Amino acid sequence: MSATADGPSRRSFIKGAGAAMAASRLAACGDAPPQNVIPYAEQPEDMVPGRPRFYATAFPYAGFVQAVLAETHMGRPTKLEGNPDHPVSQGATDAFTQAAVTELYNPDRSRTILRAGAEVGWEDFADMAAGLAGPGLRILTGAVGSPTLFRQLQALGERGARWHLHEPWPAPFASVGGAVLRPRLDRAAVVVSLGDDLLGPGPAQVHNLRNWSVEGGGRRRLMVAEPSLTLTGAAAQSRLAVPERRLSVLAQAIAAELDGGNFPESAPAEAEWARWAAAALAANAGRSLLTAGSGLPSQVHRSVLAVNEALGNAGRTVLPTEPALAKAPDGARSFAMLVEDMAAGAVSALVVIGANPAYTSPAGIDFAAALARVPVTVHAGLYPDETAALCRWHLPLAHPLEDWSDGRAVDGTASIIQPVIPPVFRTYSAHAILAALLGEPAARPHDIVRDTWRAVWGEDAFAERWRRSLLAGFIAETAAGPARPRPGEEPSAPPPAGDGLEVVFLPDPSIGDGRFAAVPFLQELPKPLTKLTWDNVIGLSARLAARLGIENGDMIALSAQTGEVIGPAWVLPGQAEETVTLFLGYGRRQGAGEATGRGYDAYRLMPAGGESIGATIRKAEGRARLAVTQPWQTLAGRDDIIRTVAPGEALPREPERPSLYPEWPYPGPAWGMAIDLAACGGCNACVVACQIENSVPYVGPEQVAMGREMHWLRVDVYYGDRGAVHFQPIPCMHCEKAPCEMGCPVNATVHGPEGLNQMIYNRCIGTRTCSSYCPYKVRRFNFFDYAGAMPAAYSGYRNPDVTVRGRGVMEKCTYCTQRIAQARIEARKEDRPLRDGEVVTACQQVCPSRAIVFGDLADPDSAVSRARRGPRNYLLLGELGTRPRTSYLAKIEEG
Amino acid sequence: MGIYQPITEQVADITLQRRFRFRWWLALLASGALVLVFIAAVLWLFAAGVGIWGINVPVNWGLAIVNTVWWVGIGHAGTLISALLLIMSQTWRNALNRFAEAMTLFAVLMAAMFPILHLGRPELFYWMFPVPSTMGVWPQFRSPLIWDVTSFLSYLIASLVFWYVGMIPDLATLRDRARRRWQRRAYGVLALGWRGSAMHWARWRQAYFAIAAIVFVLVISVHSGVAMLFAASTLPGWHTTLLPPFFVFGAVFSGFAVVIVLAVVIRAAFGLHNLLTRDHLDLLGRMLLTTGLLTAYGYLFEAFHAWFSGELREIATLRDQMAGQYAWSYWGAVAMNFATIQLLWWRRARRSVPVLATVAILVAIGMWLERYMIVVTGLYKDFLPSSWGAYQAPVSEWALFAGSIGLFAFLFVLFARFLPLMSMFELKEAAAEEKGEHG
Amino acid sequence: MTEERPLALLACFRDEDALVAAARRARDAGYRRLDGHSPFPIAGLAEALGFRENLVPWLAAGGFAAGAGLALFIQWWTSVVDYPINVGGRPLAAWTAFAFPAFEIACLTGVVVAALGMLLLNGLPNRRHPSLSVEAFRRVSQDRFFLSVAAGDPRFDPVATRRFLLGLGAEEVIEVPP
Repeated sequence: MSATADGPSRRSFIKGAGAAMAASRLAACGDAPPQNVIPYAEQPEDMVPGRPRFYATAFPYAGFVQAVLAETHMGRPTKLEGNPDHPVSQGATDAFTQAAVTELYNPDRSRTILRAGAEVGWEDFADMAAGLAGPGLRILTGAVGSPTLFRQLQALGERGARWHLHEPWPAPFASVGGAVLRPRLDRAAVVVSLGDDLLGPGPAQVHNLRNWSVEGGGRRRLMVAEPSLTLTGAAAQSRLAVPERRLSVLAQAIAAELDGGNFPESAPAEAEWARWAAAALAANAGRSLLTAGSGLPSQVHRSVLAVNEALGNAGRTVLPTEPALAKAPDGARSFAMLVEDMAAGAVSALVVIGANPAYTSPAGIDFAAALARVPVTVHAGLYPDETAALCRWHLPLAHPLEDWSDGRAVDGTASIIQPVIPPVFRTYSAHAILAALLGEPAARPHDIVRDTWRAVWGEDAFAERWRRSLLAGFIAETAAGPARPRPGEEPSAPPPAGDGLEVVFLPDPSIGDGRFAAVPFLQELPKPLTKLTWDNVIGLSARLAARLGIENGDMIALSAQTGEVIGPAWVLPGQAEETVTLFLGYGRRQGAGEATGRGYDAYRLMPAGGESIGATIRKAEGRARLAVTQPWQTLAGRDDIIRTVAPGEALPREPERPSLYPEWPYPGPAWGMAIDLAACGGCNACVVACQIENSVPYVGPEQVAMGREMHWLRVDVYYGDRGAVHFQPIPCMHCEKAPCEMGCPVNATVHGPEGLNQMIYNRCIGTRTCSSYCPYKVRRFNFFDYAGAMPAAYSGYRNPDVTVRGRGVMEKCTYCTQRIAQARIEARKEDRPLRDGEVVTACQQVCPSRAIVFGDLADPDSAVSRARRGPRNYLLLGELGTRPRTSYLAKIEEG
Repeated sequence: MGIYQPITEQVADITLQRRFRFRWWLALLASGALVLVFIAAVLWLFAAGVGIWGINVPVNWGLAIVNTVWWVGIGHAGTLISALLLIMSQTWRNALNRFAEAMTLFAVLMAAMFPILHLGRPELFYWMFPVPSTMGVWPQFRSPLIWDVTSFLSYLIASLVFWYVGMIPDLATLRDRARRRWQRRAYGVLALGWRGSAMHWARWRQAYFAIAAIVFVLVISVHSGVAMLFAASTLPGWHTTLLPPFFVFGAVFSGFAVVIVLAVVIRAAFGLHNLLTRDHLDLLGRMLLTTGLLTAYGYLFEAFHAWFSGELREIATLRDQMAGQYAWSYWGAVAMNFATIQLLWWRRARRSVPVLATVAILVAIGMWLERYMIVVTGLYKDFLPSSWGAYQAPVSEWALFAGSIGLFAFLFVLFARFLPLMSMFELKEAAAEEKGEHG
Repeated sequence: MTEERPLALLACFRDEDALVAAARRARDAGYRRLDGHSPFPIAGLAEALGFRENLVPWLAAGGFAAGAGLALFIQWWTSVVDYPINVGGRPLAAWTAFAFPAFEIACLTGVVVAALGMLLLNGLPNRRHPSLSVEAFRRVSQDRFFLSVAAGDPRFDPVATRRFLLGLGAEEVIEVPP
C-alpha cells in the first residue's frame, strides 16, 4: 500500500469504485443466499439486523477443505470459524482460512471474461467451449479433492479429453504403494520426523496441531532432523540440522539400528542422533511414530513404513488410508507430460482451472513456450495472473465461498461447500466451466453437486442426507478408509549428490506456494520464524553468512544448473551449515495485487519434485529494505520472559505484590486469559483471526519496515540457548494497575468494571503516552488513516460490531469486548449468569493447539482460574506490579 | 546631558530611530525564510498526519518531544536571571533581563507548540482542558501530560505577565520619545498611561517582586513536571527520582547558553558594548560553568543509579546510552556539555567573546543531544526484546525543528526592533545608586 | 495665567535627591495631595509622600491560594464526583497527583492577580490622564523628576503653591490644564 501518505492512488480509487458498485449489489440482495442454503443452527425465519448468522461450509485449498462456520452479517460474510463438530477442524482453522474471507472482497480479483484481452460474455465462451471436448482437449488443474469436479473430469475423459494435474508443492502426507500415511500424533508419545513439517503451514496443519496438543499441558517427545528450521523443528526437544540429502541416510540409519541392518556411513552427530531416535522409537513401540517429509524419495517412505510396521505403530500412530485426493492419470509426471504434448503440438485446446502454471512450473519445464503451440488456451482463475496473460481466454473464477461445490478434508471427510454470498463479482465456478465444456453451459453448480451426491446416496435418502450434510457442514463417516500399501520395489533413486552447497525449497509460511500472494493480510502476516513480511529471503546459516561476509538484507546470488536467483540474505537459526533455503511464492509478475513484483521467484530453480539441488553462492550488489516486525529475536539475558519447567515440576508461586494503591473491587466477572507456551506451535492463526475479528487494517511494507504494523496480537519468537525456539503470543495484558491508563491525559483509556483495559477511540487525541508507558508495547497507533487507505472493497469483511479507527488514534487488543458484550446480552435475555466458556475470544477460538484459555478469574472453577492456579502459571514482567490479567503457562522441558 | 539621558537615547533609539535598518531586514528575512519552512512543515503535518514523521512503536515520541523539552529548558534561564537575581538584588541582571525574558517567552511558546503538533489529532488538543463536553468526560488529572499542560500554560502566561509588567515603564519612555503618530499611539496603548507616579512605582515594586517570587518557584516546577512525563513511566532509564532536578539543572544550563548567544549578538548588532559589558559576559560564563557542573552531576548519578540498582534492565539501558545505536547522542552531550565548559575556569576564556559564544553554542547543541538521548534511548529498547525498534527522524521532523528555531529568531528580531531591548529604567536606577555611592 | 484653575502644578527637578527633598518639605509644609514622578523607582519617595499601603503582596497570596483551591476542587469534583472512573487502579481522589496542577494553576492566578491588582489600585490603564497632555512632562519617563500638587489639596493655591514649589529648587513649575 503505497497510498498512505499521499492519499489513495488512482488505481486504488478505481478499485474502490468497482468494489463499491459490487457492494451495492450485495446490499440489494441482503437475504439468504439462493437455492435453499440451510443455516447451521436454526431455521431462517427472519433476518434480524445486527445478528450474525452462521453457515456450515468449507474452504478448500491445495485440494483439501477446511471445514468452517461462516459468520455473515446481513448476507455479508465477515469471519470463518472452524467447525467444532468436524473431526479434523474441531473448531480450529489455520491462518490461510482465516484470511480467506477477505479474498472474497479482494479488489485485485478478476471480474470479467476476456478473449484476447477484450471483454466478452459467458455465451461467447460457452459457444466456443461446446466444441472443444475431444481428444485434443487437455484440462489442467491443481490437486482435486472435490468428488463433483472429479466426476466432471471423468465425464470429459469419456469424450476423449485428458486431465492433467499440477500442484507446485507435494501434498502433506506421504504415500506408499497407493496408501496415504496419515499421522495420528495424538496417539504418539514419541515422534521422530525426518524433514516432515508436521506442524507447519498447509492443509494438514490444523489436523496435526490439534492432535499434537496435549490436554492439560503435557508434551510429546518430538525429535526432528531437517535442513532448515520449520515450526516442527521449533517444537522439537531434539533437533538435528542436516542437509536434506542426508535425511534418507538418517532413515536408513534408524532402520538399521532397529533391525540390525547395515548402519550407513554418517557423521558422528548424525549417528548419535539416529541412535537416540531409534532408541526412543523402540522404547515406545506402538506409541511412537517415524515420519519423513512427503517430498523425499519414495524408498525412504517405504523404509519408514517398514519401521513403523515393525514397531507396531502402523494402524495406531500412522494410518495407511485410501487417498482423499483424486489421482491424476499420469501420476507425478502428469504436468511434465502435458507440457511435452503441448510442445509436440499434440494439444489442440488447453483449459487451465485454478492453477497458475506459467508461474509455478518448475525449472526445466518451459510451460510458456509450449503454450504458444496450443491453438485454444483458456485460463480460469481468481486473479488475472501470469497464466491468464498467456492464454487467449480468461475466465474469472468464483471464490470457493461464492458457489456450490464439495471437497474432502485431509482425513477424507467430505463436505458440501455451500455459498455464503452470491458472487461478489461476475465470476464462474469450476463446475460451471467444466459443464460448459460438456455442452451444458446453463447447468448450475448447485444441481451439478446435487447430482454427484444423489448418485452416491440414491434418490430415496438424498433429500434428508443433503439437508443433514449442509446443517452439519460435513458428511458424517466419510473419512478415508484404511488401505493396504501395495508391496513393490520402489525405483532406487540416484544416491544424493556430493558435498557442495545444497539448496532446499520451502513454501512461504504466510502465502504458501504463491496462491495467497494477492492477499495483503497474509503478506503482512509475520513469518513465524523470521518475522518478515511482504518479501521472501534466501535463508542461510550463520557460519555461511560469516564466511561470505554478509549480513541480513545483503543481496546474494544463487546459481544452479537451472538458473540464477538474486535475493536478500537472511541468517536462519538452526540452518544446516551448507544448506541454503529458498522460499516459494514471491517474484510474482502479475495478478498478485499489491505484492506483484516483490521478492524473487524460487520456481526458476526448483526441480519438479521440489527436492534439493546443488548451487553456488556469491555476494551481489545492494541491500534490501526488509519489513521485519521483530528485529531482536534473542532474549538479551532476560530469561524470565520465557519460563520453563521440567515435566511435573512447578514454578515458584507468584509472590503477592503489595501496592500503594487501594484495591479496586471487581464485582462482576473478572476477565482473564492464560496462554500455554507449551502448547503454542507458532502457527499464526490467532494473529489473523484477531485481525479479521477486529477489522485491524494492514499497512503495507513501507509502514511495517518503519515499525508500524497494527496487529493487536503478535506472536514473539525468541531463539534461546541450545537451539531452543520460543513462541510467545502477546495480546494486551489488561493490567489491573495499568501504566498506560495513568498516562492518558483525556481518559481515553480507562478500566472497565470487569477489569478490561478499555480504549475509547473517539476520545483519543493521540498523545501516544499510553504506548510509551506500556511495558509490553501492545498498543498500536494509526499514524495514518490505515483503515481508510485500504481499498474500499475491504469494508465488506469488516466486523459490524467493531468500530473502525481513524487517523491519529491508538488501538489495541480488547479481549474481543464485542464477544463479551454479545454473551452478556444472551445471558441477560435468559436471565442467568454467564457460563464459563461462553465467551470465546477470536484467538482462542481459532487456536488449533488450544493454547489459549479465557474466562472469569473471579469464578474459582473457571478454566482460566484453574490454569492460573496451576503449577506453570507466571506473569510476564510481574515484578513491575502492573498485575496483568493475561498470564502464561511455562514451557515444559526436560532438564 | 546628565547620566540618564544617554541610556534612554541609546536603548530607545534602537526602537524609535531606524539606524540598524539593513542588518535588521537581513535578520528578518533570514528568520522569515525559516518561518516559511515551519509553516510548510506544519501544513504538511496537518494534511498528512504524524505518520510523515519517523516515529513508530516503540519509539512513538520523536523530535517533537525532544524539542519541547529543549525549548522549555531554554526558557528557564531567562526567568531565573529576571526573578532570582531580582530577588537577590543583583543589579547586573538589568542589562540582560529584558531580552532574556523575551527569550523565555518565545522559547516557551515554541515548547508549547510541539506537544500539540505531535498529537495524532491536534485539532482536539483542548480536550486536555476541563471543558464540559457532550461526552461528559473530563481530563485525567493523574497524567503527567496534564501536569505539563498546566505548567506550560502557567509558565507561558506568567512569563508574559512578568515581562510586560516589567516593561510598562519603558513603554512609557518610548511613548514619550516617539515622534511618529503610530508609535505614539501604539506605545501609548501599551504603556497604559504610565506616568512614573511614586505611588504607582511603589505598588509596581510590590507586584514585581511578588510575581518574581512566584515565577521563580514556578520555573523550578515546570521542568520537574516535564521530567515527570518520563519519570512517571515504568521504563528503565526514565523511572528514577533523579530526573526532576536533573532536568531543571540541564534546563537552566541550556538557557544560559542561549542567553550568552543572544547577548553576544545583540551587543554586536546594536553597539551596546557599554551597557552589556565583558563583566556581564564573565558573570554569564560563571553561571554556565556552575549549571554545567550541576548537570554533569546528573550524568554521574544517572550512571551510578543504574549501576547501584543492580537491575539488569537499568544497566542495559545505561549500556545502550553509552554504547548503543544512539551512543553518539550520549557522547555528544558529554563532550559538549561537560568537556567544553572546562574552558570557562579561565577568566580570559570567559571574557573572550568568540570563545564564550562557541562554548555556548556547543552547550545548546549538547543539551539538545541530551534530550534526544533521553527520549530515544529510553524508548527504543524497553522490557521485551521483541518490541525493540529503531528510530530515525526524517526531513519532516527536522524541518519542523529548524522552522521552530526560525520562528523563535523571527519573533526575537521583531522584539528587538519594536520593544525596548534593555530595561532602561532599571539601568537608570542602577546608575543612580552608583552615583549615590560614588558621589 | 489661564483663566481656569489648573488641575495640578508640576514642579520639575533635575535629579532624584532634589525630588525626595522637595517631597519631604512639601509634606512638612502641610500639602497632602502630593505625588512624585520619576523615570525609575526611587526608594523612600512614596513613603515620604505618605504611602503606607501593602495590599499587592496580599492580593498575590490570595490569588495563589484561590487558584490552588479552585484547581484542587475542579480536579476532585471531576474525578470523584461527576465522573468517577477506574484509571489504572489508582484512587479516585489522587491528591498527590492533583497537587501538581494545583500548584501550577496557583502560580498562574497569583501572578495574574498581582499584576491586575497593581494596575487596578494604580488606576491603570489611564491614557487620558491630564498630566500626560503636558509636553514638558514627557521627560518624566526619561530624565526628569516631578513633584505634583493636585488642585484638590486643601492648601492648594495656584500662585502661592507655584511660588512654594519654585522655592524648593524646581527648575520650572508647569500647570496641568483641565
